[in-house]
Amino acid sequence: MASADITERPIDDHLARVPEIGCAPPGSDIEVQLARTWESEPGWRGWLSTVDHKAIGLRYIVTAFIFLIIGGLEALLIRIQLARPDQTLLTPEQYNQLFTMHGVTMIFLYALPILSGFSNYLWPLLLGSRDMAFPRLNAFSYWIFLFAGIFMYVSFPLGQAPNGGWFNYVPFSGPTFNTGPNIDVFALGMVLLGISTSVGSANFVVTLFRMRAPGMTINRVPILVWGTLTASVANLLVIPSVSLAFFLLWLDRQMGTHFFDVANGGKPLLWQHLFWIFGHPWVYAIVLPAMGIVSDALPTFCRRPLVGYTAMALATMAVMLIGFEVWIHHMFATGLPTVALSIFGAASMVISVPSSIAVFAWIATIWLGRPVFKTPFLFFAGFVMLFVIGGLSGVMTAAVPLDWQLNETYFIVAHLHYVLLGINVFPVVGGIYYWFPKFTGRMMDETLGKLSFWVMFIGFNVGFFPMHWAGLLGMPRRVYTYSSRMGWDGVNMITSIGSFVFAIGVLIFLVNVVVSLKRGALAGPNPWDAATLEWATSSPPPAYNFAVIPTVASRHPLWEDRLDEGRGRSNFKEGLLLAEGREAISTSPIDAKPLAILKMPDDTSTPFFLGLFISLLFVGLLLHWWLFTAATAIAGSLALIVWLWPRKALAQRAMPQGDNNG
Amino acid sequence: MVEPVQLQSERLPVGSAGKLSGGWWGVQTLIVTEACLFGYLLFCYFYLAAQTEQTWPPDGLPSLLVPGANTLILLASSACVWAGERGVHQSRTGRGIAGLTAAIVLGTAFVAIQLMEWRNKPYGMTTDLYGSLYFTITGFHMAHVIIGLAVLLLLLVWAMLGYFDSRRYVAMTIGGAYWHFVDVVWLFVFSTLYLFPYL
Amino acid sequence: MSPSVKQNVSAKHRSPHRYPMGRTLVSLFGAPVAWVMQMSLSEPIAAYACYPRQVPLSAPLWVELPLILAVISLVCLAAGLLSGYVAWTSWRQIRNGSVVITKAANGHPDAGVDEGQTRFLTMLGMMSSSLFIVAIVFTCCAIFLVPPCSAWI
Repeated sequence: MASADITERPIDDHLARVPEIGCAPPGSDIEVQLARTWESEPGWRGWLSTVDHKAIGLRYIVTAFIFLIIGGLEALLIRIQLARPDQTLLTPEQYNQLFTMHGVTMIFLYALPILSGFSNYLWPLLLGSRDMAFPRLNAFSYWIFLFAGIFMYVSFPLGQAPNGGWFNYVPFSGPTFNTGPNIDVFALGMVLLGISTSVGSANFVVTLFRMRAPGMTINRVPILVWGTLTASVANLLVIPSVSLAFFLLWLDRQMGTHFFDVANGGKPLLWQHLFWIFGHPWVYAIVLPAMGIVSDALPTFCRRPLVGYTAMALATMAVMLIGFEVWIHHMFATGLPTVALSIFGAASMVISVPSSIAVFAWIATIWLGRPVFKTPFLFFAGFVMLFVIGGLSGVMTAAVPLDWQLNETYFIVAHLHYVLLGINVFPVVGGIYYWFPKFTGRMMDETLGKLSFWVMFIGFNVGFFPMHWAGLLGMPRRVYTYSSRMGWDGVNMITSIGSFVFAIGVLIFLVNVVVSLKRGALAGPNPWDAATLEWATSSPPPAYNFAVIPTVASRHPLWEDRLDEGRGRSNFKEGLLLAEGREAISTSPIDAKPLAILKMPDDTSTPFFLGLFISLLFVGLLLHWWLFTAATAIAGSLALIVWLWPRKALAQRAMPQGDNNG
Repeated sequence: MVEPVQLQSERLPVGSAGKLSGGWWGVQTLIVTEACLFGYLLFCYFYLAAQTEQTWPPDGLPSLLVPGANTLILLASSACVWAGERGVHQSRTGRGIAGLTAAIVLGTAFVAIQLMEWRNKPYGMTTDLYGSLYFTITGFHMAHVIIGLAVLLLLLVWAMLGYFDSRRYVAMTIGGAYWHFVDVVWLFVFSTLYLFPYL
Repeated sequence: MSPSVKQNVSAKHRSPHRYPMGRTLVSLFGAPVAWVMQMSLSEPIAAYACYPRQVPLSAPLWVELPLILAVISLVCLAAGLLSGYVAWTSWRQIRNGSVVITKAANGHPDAGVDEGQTRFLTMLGMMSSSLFIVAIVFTCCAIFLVPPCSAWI
């Protein structure tokens, strides 16, 4: 055992050393020391200052799910209003605010954050690392997300919530037609949320290229990682577009600039370009990691590796790349010239190629495998079907003439819900069923699980499939009511019934979560007999994830013996120990060779305070409290300086010989 | 039975070792996303300028003398940061401090001249579309210069506290990269706002 | 545990003798970049030529518009095909083993053994090239089939 060897070491160990290789079985000195180093302090202080990716990931998941429930309740109110013609439950203004907040909540506060939650929790486990590349940034990203969510809801109880739809077109959202604080809350809230998403994305990108276990070469990375990586790169490139759009809108509204002001040469279409340059890649950012969840978890229930790993990795990246150049398909009805539209129609159709590759890879995996019909499998199989339906209606709307017919009708609403619920919510719920044992150490109940799937699946299809029909009958989206002479009564009633059935399915799922938390059967490290690294550690994982950094020898580290591939076997017993304080190994981007021993930061509440000050700064901007804004800016800068101050413990500073106890 | 693979290890650097550090990667992602931000700002400019029916710029072609000189000042400050970083790398901390100080002085001069330039404009941010674009784009850049100056100031303090030596000075590399980025972006802003109208 | 398999993930010899990175990059990103160029150049030109300011035109601002668009498309198609060719030859070389992608460096027999990443990257390059050549052809269809500035109805 290496614990004895590491006491004798050269003096300048703090700048370079040979990392110790050894074993650390549970209860050994090294294991105890690791636990002491990595565990957060108990109590509220530890809660506020933890930088553990697992705690942050779970917070992301829980918070995003609460937003899903809020958005769902808003949807139910909308569906009650639309169940019958000429209803007066909601006023038009209330209806506008409800559908706007429903969209904003689902798209911005649920869809990506929940996937960030999964990725935050799972990435270091999947990659065999001790933490993300930037643990403090990770905590910061969560706090800003939470505060931005609260920020966007502050005006809701006052009846002044955003009311311009989630894509918030000018001139309706401009200063002339929308004089209340509604849009300002949305605009500043989105800029704030953009900070969270950007830093989170930067963290994922850097983590992939630096933090993989030795031996996890680029061709062995799980597909979920490819999905989140692709989404994160896209976010880095396009978030500035939407943040800028909302900031310019805020300037137009509060400072009197003229970017979108038609009377002075401004262009409303500039808004649409900036918004959709962001908006369409965003749509893929909120589905690709979810597709990755399926690609990684489905094979477990098919008892065989995913068919077409390379094709799936390529499909993931290609969908996103094409996704950068299709934003104008959201603008087909704006009067742009024909060739300009046709180019984007053609590009939009190309997306069906990589999407189909992915679909056929999943089908082939099920086909060639021996499916085990557990709850997660049902959700993933259901996802494949919904993806096909949503994809087909997508190809239809990619054709410019057909889009003219369908634009702004319920057909589009049906399409986008098939895509977003089908490709995001179903994999996410399936993913929670799948990783719940890892999160909590307990299994979820199978009977309730299957029931929740069937109720959700039937409710979803009953609710949303008729919307296609409503759209073909010409029902426009975003109308607060309709006359019974339009002939839309039947479809709307069915949709409303379906939406409540779906909600009951979600409720059953939530009951299952609560019951299983208390009474679920205890799960071992690998209850599903899965192949990937996160199942190599205990459930729930210890604070340090892996006592010994795994050395990876294949794409399916836990299935090597039965697949009998490769020249060696992954090593979980003996490997890098890295136990001199919080340490992690940095490896090379493609070959995953060890490059450096990283000093990881300790728990700190600086990210919380920095997040708080930045959020208060936005409150100051919203209320025009300029002195307050300046004060929070200074406080934020001080917090940032504290954060960045070079530390000896992190080996960021020059250290004279012999002085290495920083 | 195939055996588990066995890792062999050699001596590895520990902690924030130059370009192997997390911070170096982090600042690159920051630069990418910030570069996109300026890209979108310039997109707004060209999009609106291409479709305008006013004369553009409305107050005639901008004078190039002062902004041109200012551009050179900013580029000189980048060179100073570079020289300072090299100095620290060669264990000449004094040179590092001198380089940073010179860069801060030049950067501050840039800000002062740019403020003067702003004051001399006959239009403001709300006068017309061009004014909104001009002041927003240069304003964004100005904010970045001020943040960059704060970063340089911080580096200066750390250098004077003796935090850097020839083996650990990654903060200089990271802060320097940000400053170079701010300067390169100015070239694009300058070309768009000052040179493009002459085409 | 007596390890008999020598390690492929040794920290020594950080860069195995890999297939040239430039070729890999071209095969991975050449066709996508060509397609992005085709889209980003054609779109603003086509849009501006038919709708420069407040009113749409019935004929393009420049008579040569179809020619300009065709040239852009053909150049980008050629670039895409070229990168596809690079990807194809790389793939064949790797598959046939006519290029030794991993060499035992400095006499260490196991140092820098390729773990399949080179094969993976070339395969990825081939797929990416084929897909984006298709994308370029799709865009060409739109450009060659739709008359510029035509009315929709």
